[in-house]
Amino acid sequence: MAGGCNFPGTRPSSLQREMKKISFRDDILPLKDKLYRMALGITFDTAEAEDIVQDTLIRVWGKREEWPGIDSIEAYCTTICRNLSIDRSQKKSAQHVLLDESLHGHPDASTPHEKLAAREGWGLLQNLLRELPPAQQAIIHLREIEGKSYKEIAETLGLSEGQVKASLFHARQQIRKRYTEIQEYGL
Amino acid sequence: MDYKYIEQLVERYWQCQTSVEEEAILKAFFSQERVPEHLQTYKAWFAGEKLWQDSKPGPDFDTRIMARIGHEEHVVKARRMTLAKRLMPFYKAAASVAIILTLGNAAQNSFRHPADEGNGYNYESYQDSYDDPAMAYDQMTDALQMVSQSLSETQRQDSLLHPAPGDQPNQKQ
Amino acid sequence: MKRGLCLLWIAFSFHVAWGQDFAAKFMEQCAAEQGENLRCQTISPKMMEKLVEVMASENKEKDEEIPAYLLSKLKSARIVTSTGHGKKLFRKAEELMEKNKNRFTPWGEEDPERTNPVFVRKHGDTICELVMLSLTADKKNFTIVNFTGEMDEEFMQTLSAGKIPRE
Repeated sequence: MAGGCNFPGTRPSSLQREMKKISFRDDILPLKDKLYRMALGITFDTAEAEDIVQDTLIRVWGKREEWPGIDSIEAYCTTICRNLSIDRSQKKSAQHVLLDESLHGHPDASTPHEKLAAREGWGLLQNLLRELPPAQQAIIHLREIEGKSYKEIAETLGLSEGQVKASLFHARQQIRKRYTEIQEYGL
Repeated sequence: MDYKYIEQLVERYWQCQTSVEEEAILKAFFSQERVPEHLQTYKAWFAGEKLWQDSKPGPDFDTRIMARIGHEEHVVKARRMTLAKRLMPFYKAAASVAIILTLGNAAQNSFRHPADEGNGYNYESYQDSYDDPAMAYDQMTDALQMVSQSLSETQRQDSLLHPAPGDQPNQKQ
Repeated sequence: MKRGLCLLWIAFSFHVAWGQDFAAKFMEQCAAEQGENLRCQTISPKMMEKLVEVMASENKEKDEEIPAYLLSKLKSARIVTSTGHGKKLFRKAEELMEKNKNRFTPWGEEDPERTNPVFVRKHGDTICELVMLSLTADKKNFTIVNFTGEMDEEFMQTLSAGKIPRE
């Protein structure tokens, strides 16, 4: 942090210890970055992703009586976030189809400008990921963005390590192939 | 410069033979401004991933979520109040005050306060947004953080404008 | 009837003794048109005392000394946040500040480019009110942090530097 005070936030304060509570600020709020990356990987929209994380945390806050009974508060938050993200992104693509049809007449039309943007980092990533099946998208996210090992990914997704590696291999091969096609033919 | 190492890493990456650390190296390498011509091909992919990985919510995220939670608590509290204890939510009362004052032609731009008495804040009217001191504390540390940041920026700016070794920055009183 | 009387009473007490901090004044002017977009969180003197009491207990952590010290100098806090309309609200707040420059003075050099200026209200040597206006870089969201209390030079140094200055 560039200058200014450093205030406590990495451990429960004396107040929280006094109250013997799970701290929203110290146990749940720090998950925001991770939840944001997840929402971003599904919606590909920074403003939407931020809203989703806000809504996720509000929902979790609303259920605070249930916190003591939850095994992993992180898994709990992640699930809510993922569901919200999928929900919003489905609603959005439905809207996009309608919008495209009304504007262009054909759903797949895109301007040359959009095609160019699609080649640059973020846009390209979105397009390539969207072409993959959801299971492979999840593995890419966990591996490439969250830096998880095959073992950790396998545990999270309930697969074997072999399945994870095979899936990742297919995903990367597909991406490499599509990448080359886009670069060469501008598809 | 020999980019053989990077080229090998890229090839191994597509074959799923790289470790997490090696993949981090690739992302960092391709996120540089200048990447040699012959390696340009996959720049967008790795750079895009790094972009995603480094993405964070906005700087005011914490403040806004705390505000929303405070608001949620306020709403719940209001529902629970009995008719006898009920007061209108602060901002609705303030809005009514604004209307009354406008009608009464008392809308002045300066604050008026009785001549002598201390600093004249009507603390009786302050209604807590948080029941839970732990939440109030979190909100306070957040707020202090924000002001701290601003003050330290001011200090730095002032010392840039008035560089005088060993002197305190000039501050308007 | 009761509600009406209640409102009149509130209006009257506000009118007679303008015991308001900046945030309250701002909310009064803007809350009606902004509605849900504008929120004000309040920490009353009673709550502030509670916080200080607990922080003063023996089992506090080393890195809580500074917040404990800072909180002990404050009487109240209000945090106003907006969702959207950031630039407009920031300007409104700046205007309100300008209109009341007999009451509030800027802290530090005035810089029209600043998006997080700090203002203080002094009573003799004591700073009885501190106001920070903040606009996010994307100009969308706006925050006011408003403290009242008995702040002094040492308080400001501590808050700025993160260290309690030696005597």
